[in-house]
Amino acid sequence: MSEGIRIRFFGRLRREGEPAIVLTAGSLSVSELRQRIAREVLTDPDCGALLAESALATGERVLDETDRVEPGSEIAVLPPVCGG
Amino acid sequence: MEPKVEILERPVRPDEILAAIGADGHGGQAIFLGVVRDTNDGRRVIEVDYDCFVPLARRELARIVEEARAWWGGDLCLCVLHATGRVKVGEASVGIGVSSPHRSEAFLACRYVIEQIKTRVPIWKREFYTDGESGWVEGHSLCRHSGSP
Repeated sequence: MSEGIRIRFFGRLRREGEPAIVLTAGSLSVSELRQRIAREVLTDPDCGALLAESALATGERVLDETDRVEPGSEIAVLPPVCGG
Repeated sequence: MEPKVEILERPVRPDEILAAIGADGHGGQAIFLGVVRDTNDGRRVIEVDYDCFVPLARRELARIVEEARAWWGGDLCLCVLHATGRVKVGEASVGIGVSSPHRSEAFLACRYVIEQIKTRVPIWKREFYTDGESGWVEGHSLCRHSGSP
C-alpha cells in the first residue's frame, strides 16, 4: 500500500463516487487523525459534527483515541449506526 | 449446531433461517424478520439501501450470538442474517432465528439479538422515496460494550 493513511467513509459520511481518500500523514494518534479529517476532508459543519459522533476502526477493531495509526493503514469512519 | 451468521448482498429469505435452526430436543423456535415498510416519518418509501462495514459487522454479530448463548444456554441454535444493498418494501433486511428446548429462551434470545444489532453493528440505511429524493436514517453512536438481558 502506498504512503499515507487510507480512509473509508460509511453511511451518511460516504462520499459519492469516492469510496476512499488517502491522507498524507506520518504516524498519528486517532485523536490527531480525527482532527486532520475534520480540518482537511469533512469541512462542512454538519459532517464535522457527525465525525465527532463517529467511531474509527480498522478491520475488526474499534480504535481508542490514543491508539496509533501508521502510514499504510486503512481506517473506517463509522457514523451513528442503524442496522436492522 | 454451530450458529449461522452472515452478511448478505441481497434481501433475507425466511426459509433459510428456518433451515438453519432446530434440533430434536428443541420445542421452541422464534423467528424475527425486519421488513422494509412503505412509510417513515410521513414519507413514502420505495426501498432502502443498506451500507455496512463488513469485517466489524461480522465480528460483532458473532459476539452478540455468543452472548445470547451465554445468557440463555449454549444449546441454543441461532441464525442471524443481514442484508446489504437495495431492499424493497415488503422484503426482509434482517432475519433472526433461535431454537431452544423451551419457548421462553428462544423469545428472549431473539429479542436480545435484534436490540443489540440496532446499536452495535456498523450498518446504515438510506431510504429512497416516491418523490425521487433519499435520506439517511438517524442512528446511534456505535456502542462498544456488551448488553444485558
